[in-house]
Amino acid sequence: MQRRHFLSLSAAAPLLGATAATLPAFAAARTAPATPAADGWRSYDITTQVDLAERTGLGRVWVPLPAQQLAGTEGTYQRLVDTRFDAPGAKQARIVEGTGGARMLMVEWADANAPQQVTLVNRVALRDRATDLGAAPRGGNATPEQLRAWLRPTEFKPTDGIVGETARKIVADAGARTDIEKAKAVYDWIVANCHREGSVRGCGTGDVKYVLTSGNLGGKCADLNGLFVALARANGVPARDVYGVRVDDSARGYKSMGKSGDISRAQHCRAEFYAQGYGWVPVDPADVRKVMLEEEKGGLAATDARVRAANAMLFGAWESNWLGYNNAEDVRLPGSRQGSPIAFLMYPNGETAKGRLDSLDPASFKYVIQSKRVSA
Amino acid sequence: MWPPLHAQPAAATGLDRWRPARPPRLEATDLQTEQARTLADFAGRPLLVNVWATWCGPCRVEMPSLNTLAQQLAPQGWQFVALNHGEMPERVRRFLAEVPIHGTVLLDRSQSVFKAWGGQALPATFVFDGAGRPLAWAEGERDWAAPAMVAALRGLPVARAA
Repeated sequence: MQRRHFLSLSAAAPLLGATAATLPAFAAARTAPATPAADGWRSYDITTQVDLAERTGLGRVWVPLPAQQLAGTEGTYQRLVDTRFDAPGAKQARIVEGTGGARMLMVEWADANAPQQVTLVNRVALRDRATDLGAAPRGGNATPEQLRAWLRPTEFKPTDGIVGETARKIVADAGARTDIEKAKAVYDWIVANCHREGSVRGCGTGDVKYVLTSGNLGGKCADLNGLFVALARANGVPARDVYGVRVDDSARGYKSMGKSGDISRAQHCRAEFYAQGYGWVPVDPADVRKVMLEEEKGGLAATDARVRAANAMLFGAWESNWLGYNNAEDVRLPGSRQGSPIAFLMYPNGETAKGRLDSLDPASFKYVIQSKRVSA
Repeated sequence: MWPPLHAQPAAATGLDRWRPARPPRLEATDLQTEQARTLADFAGRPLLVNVWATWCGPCRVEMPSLNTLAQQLAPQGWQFVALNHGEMPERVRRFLAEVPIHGTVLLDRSQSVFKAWGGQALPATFVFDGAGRPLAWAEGERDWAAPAMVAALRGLPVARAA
């Protein structure tokens, strides 16, 4: 198995010398046998290049890796085909797993006088995902034990206080009874009452209590889709974010819901809820509000046909111009000197002897993420 | 005894009493000297800490009034710290070349101070007395040079000894 082979390579070459040791010139971890080429699959090479601008005697980065496989009851919609990285001069470079199964490449450098660079290439295969909620139930019957993790409150997603009160009011006002009805009520409430706040940095903090108490119900994907997750959980509906990045333009013609080429700032999280008989159902109310704000200069009204189409699509379907990294919350970065966890792992993270690097500032960090569609 | 903070029109100052659950701590790096700084480095005189970021529009809006305030209160012993929230030194330096800040610029690269002090949105400003005890805070942009604000700050019991 190639992954084991890579791990054994790391073990055989501990690379812990005081002098600048080098990794194997090119390490690879193949995780799927081949790139699917039919049935709507599209393949991409996602290349992340890190070149630490602040070189010290201690440099570390953690770059999220695409989930190895993502699937719903409708089938698999994401496969990680191949992972390759090259970190010349690094003290160590290895794939590690953090909180909640979040996989990442960790690289450490110790020579302040040498370039501190890593190139990571992930090949992923993606295809559109849709759950037909009008069809008869056909699977997805998880046990309460399996779903327990997706009902619990977290630091940024409490389910009591104003979150619980808001959740109960939404469901009561809508007269929702089933999990699907409750999730739809929450989705509709967010689309109708929240908004995308362009001045929010990155994808937002995901602090849903703040979104509800700030007075303006504004935010970006981590805030609004995080709010969906918290409100669903507060109503007893299992839900989770999926943190990822856009990798291509929208084939449906929405310029606000796609990004190709340089995707260094195209991170985007989506959300899912669990419905017995249907499994994990994809949703993305934050992108409905993104269409309203950004699709056309001056914004679009909720009644605009493009908004209504997006609103209908994004309760039950995701376009495949995006890849998912993980569902992890409150992530501790393995080997980090930082005491507190990060809310989610969607961006490259790093630290030097002088402190944490700013993940949301690719130019200062510095890193570039490129997406290229490949034919096979 | 608590000063007449609430006697001031709240709408005029937006300054609230600050009672953090735990004694506030400061662990930051001086942008200029790259030395570690703590609250102890500012002991003995009143201290105003403004938490800001280059990407924060409201932070930029209130900076001129903070500079004016610093000019007015520095002669009375007040110290002013501009604590950047989580950004890299080079970005902060480029910003300061365009928008000067009167006071000591510190970096909180861990992004931990603001949250630990109870902040939720930038900008946020925190006032300590001469013994390093928390006194008052404000979240959101303010007109720090407004007469009511200056009067409110001057009315605080900032000179308490440790």
